[in-house]
Amino acid sequence: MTTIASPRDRTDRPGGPRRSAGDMPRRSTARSPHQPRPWTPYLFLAPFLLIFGTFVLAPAVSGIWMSLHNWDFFLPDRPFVGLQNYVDLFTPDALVAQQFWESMRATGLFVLLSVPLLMAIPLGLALLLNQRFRGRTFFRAVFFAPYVLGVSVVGLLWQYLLNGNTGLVNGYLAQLGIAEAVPWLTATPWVWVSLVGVTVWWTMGFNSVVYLAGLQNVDEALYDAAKVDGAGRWAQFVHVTIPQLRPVLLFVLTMTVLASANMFGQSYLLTSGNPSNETRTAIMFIAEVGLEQFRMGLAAAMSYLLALLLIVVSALNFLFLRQKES
Amino acid sequence: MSTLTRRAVLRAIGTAGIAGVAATIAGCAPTIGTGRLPRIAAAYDGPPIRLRFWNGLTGGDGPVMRTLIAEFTREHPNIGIDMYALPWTDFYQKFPAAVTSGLAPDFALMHNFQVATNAARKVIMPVDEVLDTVGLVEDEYLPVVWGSGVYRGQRWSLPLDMWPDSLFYNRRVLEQAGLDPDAPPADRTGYEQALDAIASTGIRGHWLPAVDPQGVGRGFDSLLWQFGGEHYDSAGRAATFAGEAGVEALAWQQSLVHNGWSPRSVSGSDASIAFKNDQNAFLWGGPGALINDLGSVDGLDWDVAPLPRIGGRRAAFSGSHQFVVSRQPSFDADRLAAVVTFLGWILANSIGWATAGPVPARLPILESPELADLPAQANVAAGVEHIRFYPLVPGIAEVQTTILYPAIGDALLSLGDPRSALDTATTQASFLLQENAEKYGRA
Repeated sequence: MTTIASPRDRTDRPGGPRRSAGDMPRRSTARSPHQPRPWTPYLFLAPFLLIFGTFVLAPAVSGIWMSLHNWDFFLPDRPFVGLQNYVDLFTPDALVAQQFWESMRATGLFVLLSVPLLMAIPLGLALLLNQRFRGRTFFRAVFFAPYVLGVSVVGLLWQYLLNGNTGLVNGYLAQLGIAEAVPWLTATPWVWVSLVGVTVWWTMGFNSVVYLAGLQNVDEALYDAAKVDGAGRWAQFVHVTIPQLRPVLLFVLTMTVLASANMFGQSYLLTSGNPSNETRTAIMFIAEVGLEQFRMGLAAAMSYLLALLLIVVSALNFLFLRQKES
Repeated sequence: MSTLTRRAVLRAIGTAGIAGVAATIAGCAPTIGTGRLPRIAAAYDGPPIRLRFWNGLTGGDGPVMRTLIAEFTREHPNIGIDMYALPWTDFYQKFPAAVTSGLAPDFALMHNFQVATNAARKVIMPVDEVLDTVGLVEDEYLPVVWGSGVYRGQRWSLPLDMWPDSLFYNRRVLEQAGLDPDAPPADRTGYEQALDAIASTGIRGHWLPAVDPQGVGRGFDSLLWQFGGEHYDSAGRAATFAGEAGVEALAWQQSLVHNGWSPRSVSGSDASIAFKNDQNAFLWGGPGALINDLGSVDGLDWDVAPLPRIGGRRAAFSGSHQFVVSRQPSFDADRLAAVVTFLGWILANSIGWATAGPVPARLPILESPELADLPAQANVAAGVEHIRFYPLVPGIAEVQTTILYPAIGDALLSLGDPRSALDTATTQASFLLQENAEKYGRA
């Protein structure tokens, strides 16, 4: 018996699940694709749901539970404290509130400094790499290359380069006559220059590739039409490229904001939060409180605040870019 | 109902999810056994057995420990030991987790200042019952070392070694400055004069790390004690490092930069690189990290002496590696007997461990002629009577490394007012001390 539905099956479609007894043997094998068993879609979803439930949903819900307790994994007694962990984060003179909002400030600052650069530079790069010239593939690969490196490699590499007293960068600067050692990793504002610079160097390749894919989907006819209307290169960019790239821009913006807000490795490896915890990001602080000090309830509460904030920011992104579209 | 509605399915998933979470929460409550140590025979001589031993010996000290274990197994062929070394920070995260989930190693090595924390967490066992079998005698230890394993009236750990911060000095740099490389400075005047003499040859003599948290904080610790201060009150509830002694200690550290004896913004690795390239004369550090590290540099002419006396009295920060027995859901008398056999053996043979850098905690071994064969260790040992340990307060390492050390680092980076830096840290530390007292007090 084939699995292809016979014409007869089709004919009794309006009858729905009610079938004559004669159909019984065929039902299991020759069922119309238009009339799957009620649980079929869920069966297809099940593997994902299982993984999603185990690794995302259950931890997320248990995180809420944790955040309502004074939760130390290794102590037998974990008293319920209600919303106290959240209240602590909004009590101005509590130590943890100061530290948490300081780390949120660091995260916010990093997002503000890095996202515009990570939006603009890769776009320019993608426009260049979209031109026709010899060695184009080579350059596409070169700019993407740093993204392949892990954060630990990037951190170690730049640690050697940027070290204030023994680093290569300051060594060359000294040879150029700049005698005063630049404290790249130990003083503001240089720490931010270093962290943002390293991050841009590291991840711009990824954004460029996404832009490049978007650019290649733009219909040439639109440029031709714009030229006919007398548009110059700038006008073409503003009135054809940007609007055509809007969905790509939205994607890149959302991903970049989220990635920047989750920055951890760079400051962990390069500055260790120095100076004065100025570059200790929210994720870094949460990890410290939760996984080093085992104050997991508090860490869970902080995670939820951060997640909430990121959801709001992402939602705003969507609203903002959607409205322009309509 | 012939079809499942979307709503019904979602509801089912939701219910299952909540049930799952509830099960997880119920299931992950600590399963720490309240088991007591069984009575054991003097030494293990049963059938072959394999023990699991965890520690953080990931540096040059790891191979030394493995050699000792191999030596032990040659003498006791029926006891095999699998050693797992993981970085200390990982160790302190994973060890309690392993105990809680019933997968604990048989025994482990940890820092003296983590023993009280882990005792309060109930992940290690009191070892008073096995003291005699192991052969530990109070007279053979310095009081500070003997006392360092005792928390709430019970002994939780067996000290293996001591690693007092000492003065590592570059003999060539001293010689070039016209100083006697066999007589490193021992007091404040001598030290500062030496730094001036070295400065006149164009070299900054004491690169003071401001970024590496360990290097910074431990120097301050030693100085605080030298100036007569204490970090915490006796109950471990309040921080007292911001007193006059603390301010003097920090001000002296800052003066190293002010006087041009140290560059600014130095990291721990900078100081070490400069030292190895004859661009730095003095390093304050522990023998465990430095003896083998410096010894492996070709052409480096260095030696070590006890820390100079900068304040009113001699004192040096020291740590100690200590053996602990993990808590198990239930104890097997044979395994425990094998553990005790090993601990007794290694504490009696701790001279072998001295090649790793730290000096043996047991005084008869410390004074043995074998130690004199290790010149650097022997010089370190000359200062052990002045060593100081952190107080035995659960969570104390966390207060030191997350509050005090960053504060010292900041003060050295910014060269701001030492008193206000320490005052801020006091407020923060008292918060954490209070929280710890409540958290561990309940346990």
